[in-house]
Amino acid sequence: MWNKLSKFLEQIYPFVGLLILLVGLWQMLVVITNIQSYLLPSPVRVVQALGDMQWRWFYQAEATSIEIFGGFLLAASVGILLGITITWSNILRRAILPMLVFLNSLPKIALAPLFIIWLGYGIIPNIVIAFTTAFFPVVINTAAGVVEIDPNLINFAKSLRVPKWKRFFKIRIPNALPQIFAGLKTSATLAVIGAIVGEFVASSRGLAAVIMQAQGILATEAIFAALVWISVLGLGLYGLVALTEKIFMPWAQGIE
Amino acid sequence: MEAQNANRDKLIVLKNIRKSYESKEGSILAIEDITFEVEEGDFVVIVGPSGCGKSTLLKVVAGLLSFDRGSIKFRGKEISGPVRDIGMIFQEPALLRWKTVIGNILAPIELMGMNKKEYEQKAKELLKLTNLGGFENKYPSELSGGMQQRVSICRSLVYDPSLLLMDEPFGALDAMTREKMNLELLEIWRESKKTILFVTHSIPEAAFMADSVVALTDRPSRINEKITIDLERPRTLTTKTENKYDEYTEKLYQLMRGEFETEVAG
Ligand SMILES: Nc1ncnc2c1ncn2[C@@H]1O[C@H](COP(=O)(O)OP(=O)(O)OP(=O)(O)O)[C@@H](O)[C@H]1O
Ligand SMILES: [Mg+2]
Repeated sequence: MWNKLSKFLEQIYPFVGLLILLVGLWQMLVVITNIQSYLLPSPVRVVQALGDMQWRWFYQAEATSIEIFGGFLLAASVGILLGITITWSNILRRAILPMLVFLNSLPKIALAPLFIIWLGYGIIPNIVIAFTTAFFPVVINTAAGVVEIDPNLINFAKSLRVPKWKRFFKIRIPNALPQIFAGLKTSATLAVIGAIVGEFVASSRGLAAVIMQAQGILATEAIFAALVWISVLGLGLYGLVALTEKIFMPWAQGIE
Repeated sequence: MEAQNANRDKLIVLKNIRKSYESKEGSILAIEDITFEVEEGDFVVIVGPSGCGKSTLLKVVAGLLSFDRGSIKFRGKEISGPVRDIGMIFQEPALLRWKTVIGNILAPIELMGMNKKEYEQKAKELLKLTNLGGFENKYPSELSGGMQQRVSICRSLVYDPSLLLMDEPFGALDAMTREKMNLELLEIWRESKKTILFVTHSIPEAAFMADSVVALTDRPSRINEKITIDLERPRTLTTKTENKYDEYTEKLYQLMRGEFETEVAG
C-alpha cells in the first residue's frame, strides 16, 4: 500500500513540480508587470473566481459533464458496435464504410448549427455534437483492431473447428482491445471539444456558456476558472477510460 | 486383404498433393507432387530449402489450406478440412496474449465448448512436464521465447490429438535452448505416444529427432528422398557422437547441397 503510494508520488512529482513552477512564474509575471486583470488575471484571482458561487460552478459543470459523458458513452457504444459490424460482414462494410469516410471528411463542428435547429437549445443537441465529434476514432480503431491479427491465431482456432462467430468473439475481439482503448482515449478528448463547441454555438447553461458570459463583462478570471473546470472534467473522463483499460487488460503493461 | 493390413497402422496418407497459390502476378506452384505416409507413433521430419513449401504442406495436412489435386487420408478416411484429432504448433508460439499461461493451455478446451474444470489437473501436469511449474498465472509477454513455445506445445497436448504438426517450432531459439527443447520434445513424444510430423531447416535436428526424414526439393516441391534414421531410442546427447549419426547428417547435407547447386545453376 505505502509502496504503491510512494511509487505513485515518484511518478507524478516531476509534473506537479513543473506545474507549481509555471503557476509561480505566472503569479510573478502578473505582480511584476502589474498587468490589468482583465488581460491576465493572477492565479490567486482565478482561485478566488473558482470559489465565487456567483458563477454557479456546480450547476454549470453538471450540464457540461452530462454532455461530455453522454456524448462519450454514445460514441463508445455506437462506435464499437459499428466497428464490429463492418468487420463482420462484407456487405455491411461496403455499405457503411464509404458513408463513414464521407461523414468523417466533414468538419463535424460545422454540423453543430444543424443539430441545434433540429434538436433545439439545451443539453441534448450538445450530447449529439459531442457524439459526432468523438465517435469516428472508436469505429476506425475497433475495425482495425479486429482485422489486424496474427493469422496463426485464427489458424489455431480453425484447427479446433471453432465456428466463425466464436472465433470472432473469443479471439478477434479480445485481440482488438488495445486498439479499441486507444480509440476510446482519443474519443474522450474529442467528446470534451464537441460538448464545448456545442455550448459555444448556442447554450444558456454549461461551462462554455460561462465563458461567453464572462467574456461579455471582461471577467477574465472566470474564463480561466471555467478552463480549470473543463480540464478537470476532461482529465476525469480520460482517467476513467484508462482505469477501465487496466481492468479489462491486466495483461498489458504499457507505459504509465 | 493384404493391402488392408498394410494400411492399418497408417495414421495419415498423402497422395499426389499439389498446391498452388493465386496471386496478382498469376499462380505460384508451391507443391508439385507429394506422396508419403506416416505410421502411428512415428516421428517424421520434413526438411527442405527455405520457401520450398514446408509450411504450406503442414497447413494442407492440418486442413487449413485447400489443395488443387490429390488426397489426404487420416485413419483411412478422406479429409477436407480441420480435424480435432490433428493439432498444429506454429513457428511463432501464437499465444493469446490476453490469457495467462494456464488460460492459454485451457483455451482449446474453452474454444471447443468443453468443461475447463475437468482439464485443470491435466494442464498442471503438462506444466510440470515442460518445466513451467509456477508460471501458470503469468502472461505470455512475461515469458521468454522458449517458454512461450513450451506453452504452445502444452496447449496442443491438453486436448490430446493423436497427430501433432510442428512447423519449425524451435526455429527462433538459440542453439542451447533448442537442444534442450529437442530433448524435452522427444521425452513428451515418448510418454504421450503421439505421432509427430515435424518441419525444420536444421539437418542435425532432423537426424537427431526423426524415425524417418522426408527431404523436399526446391519449389515447386517434390520428394527428393525418404531416409529412415536407424538410431537407437531414447536418443540422448551421446547419440550425436555416433558414427551413424554423422553418416545420416552427411547424407542429408549432400541432398540439400544438391538442391542448392541446381538452384544456382538454374
Ligand atoms: N499466402 C500465400 N500466397 C501466395 N504465395 C504464398 C503464400 N504462402 C506461401 N506462398 C509461397 O509459397 C511458397 C512456399 O511457402 P512456404 O511458406 O510453404 O515455404 P516454407 O518451406 O515453409 O519456407 P520457410 O522454410 O522459409 O518457412 C513460397 O514461395 C511462398 O512465396
Ligand atoms: Mg515455413
